[in-house]
Amino acid sequence: MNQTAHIVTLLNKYRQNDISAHELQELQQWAALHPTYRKLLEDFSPDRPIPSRPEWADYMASGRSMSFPDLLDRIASQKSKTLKRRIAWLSAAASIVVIGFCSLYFSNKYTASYNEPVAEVVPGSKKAILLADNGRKQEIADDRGLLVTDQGMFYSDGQAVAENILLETQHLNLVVPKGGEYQITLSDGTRVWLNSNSTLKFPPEFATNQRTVEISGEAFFEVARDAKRPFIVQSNYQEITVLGTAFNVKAYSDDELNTTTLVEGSVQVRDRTGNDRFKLQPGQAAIAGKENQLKIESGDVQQATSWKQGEFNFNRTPFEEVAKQIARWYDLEVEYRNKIPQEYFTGQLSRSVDFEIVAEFLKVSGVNLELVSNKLIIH
Amino acid sequence: MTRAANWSTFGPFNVRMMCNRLSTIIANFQAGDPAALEIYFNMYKRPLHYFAKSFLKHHAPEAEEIVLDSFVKLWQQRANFNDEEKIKAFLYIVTKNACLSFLNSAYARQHFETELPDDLLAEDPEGHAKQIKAELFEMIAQEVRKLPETQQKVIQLSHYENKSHSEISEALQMSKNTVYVNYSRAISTLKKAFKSQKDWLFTFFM
Repeated sequence: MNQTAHIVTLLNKYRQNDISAHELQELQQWAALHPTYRKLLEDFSPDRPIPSRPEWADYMASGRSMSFPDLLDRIASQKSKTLKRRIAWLSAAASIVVIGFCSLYFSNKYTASYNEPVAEVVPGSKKAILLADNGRKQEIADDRGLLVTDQGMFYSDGQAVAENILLETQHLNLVVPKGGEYQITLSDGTRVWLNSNSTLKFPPEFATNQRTVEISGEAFFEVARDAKRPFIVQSNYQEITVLGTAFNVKAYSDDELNTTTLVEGSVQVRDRTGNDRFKLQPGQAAIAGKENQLKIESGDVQQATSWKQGEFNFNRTPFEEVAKQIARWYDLEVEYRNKIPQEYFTGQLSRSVDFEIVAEFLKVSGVNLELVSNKLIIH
Repeated sequence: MTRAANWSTFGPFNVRMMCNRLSTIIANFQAGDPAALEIYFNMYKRPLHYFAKSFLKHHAPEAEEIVLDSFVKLWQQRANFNDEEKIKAFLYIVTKNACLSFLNSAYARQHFETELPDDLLAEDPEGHAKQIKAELFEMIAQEVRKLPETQQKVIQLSHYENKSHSEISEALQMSKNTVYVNYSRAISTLKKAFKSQKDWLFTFFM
């Protein structure tokens, strides 16, 4: 029977994805003993946190209609000693009164309302503004993405952008506001995805010996291969040199650190003084700040590029960073009335949900927040 | 299974109330205190009833009778038990035997045409698996009880009463979004995909 308890414990750990390699091996050896054991292992696999509904409903309904007085009755009828039965009844009745008080206490707590209204704040969408250094300006509210060619600026399906802003300018700024995201293909074929509140500065045509752009905010680069012309991305605290590769740059001006995460290929990163330089391997991240020397860490590619897949992705992410990402996407200002909460957040959230849902998550997590026009006030 | 896991069956209030009595419960039980029997009854009736039903398939009334009888036998032999593990083992064995003899009885053959699988009476992996399943379900039920109350309510309505999110939203008078959020947080917690206690979980896709 101890064996049973042990197996139950192992299966429960397995179900919660909380099992060591050694324990898993033990469990698998046990499961190999009999098909019904193997079936149990399948039924309680970690991707099913709760058993299937009909089974679970059946389990939860079990034993419900069996009352303790019934049992006492049955015991008494076997002994047929009325006196004993009465005493047992009295004692049972006393316990029921106690339990009744407990459940009253708990059911009162259940009724707490979570129904506070939250103003309607919509998620971000595809939008950007093109600024030329000669002062010309064009708003882009079309979701097709931009394509820079030597014939002018097009949408990605080949339709020309109405006004050809490329004429007579050395540089263009693609400005993605808060609550926006946008994608552009540069003249060399390099594709850049810009996250909210980000600006990419690029020339209509690249020089013959190198391709240089500047980024503020967050962007994902898929650099077209050209061994003769290195592609250089400059941010506040980093300069990234690549030949052809894919990587994410996060360099918001209100972030202390710039982070470059390499997805594939290889890039060289140096800080803006040029003193430190490193070559990144795929999966690694280069981090630098004003006061922080350039350093290399193992990065989380999925997390770093999740915004491009339409997700927030947090992994022990401090609340302040969570709030920044949310504010950028929902075009909100964050204001802390007291100290910044020191909680960490983990998990994923679709970026397409209304802010109301995000607010619910934060509230259920114990963050006390209030939305006043576009200001997110954290108490 | 640890004692702590068993005790949480009663919820936080009762745990505190009964912790002092933990060591004396077995003694009281042996001495014939019905309140001690009631504790074991509430602890084991659900998994045992489920266990019995898994032998008897659709004959839930007979399963109830059998489980009640198991507790009667336990009570009659209470002087022999000085350890909670033995009580549990006794209850499962007696219940299983009663189920098997029910299935094997002429009455059962005549009335329910139940075929008794050959290997069920032999050294018995199926019976063992049924017990494991019942005990594991009880563990999950206890984990659900540890969730915050709103999440518990949502899980109960959705998984036990099979209600849709709109129905839950109406029943609990909360917005659909709140239902979704509570539901997905409960599932995340039950999954324990992320173990760190300080982390708040954020998992939701539309």
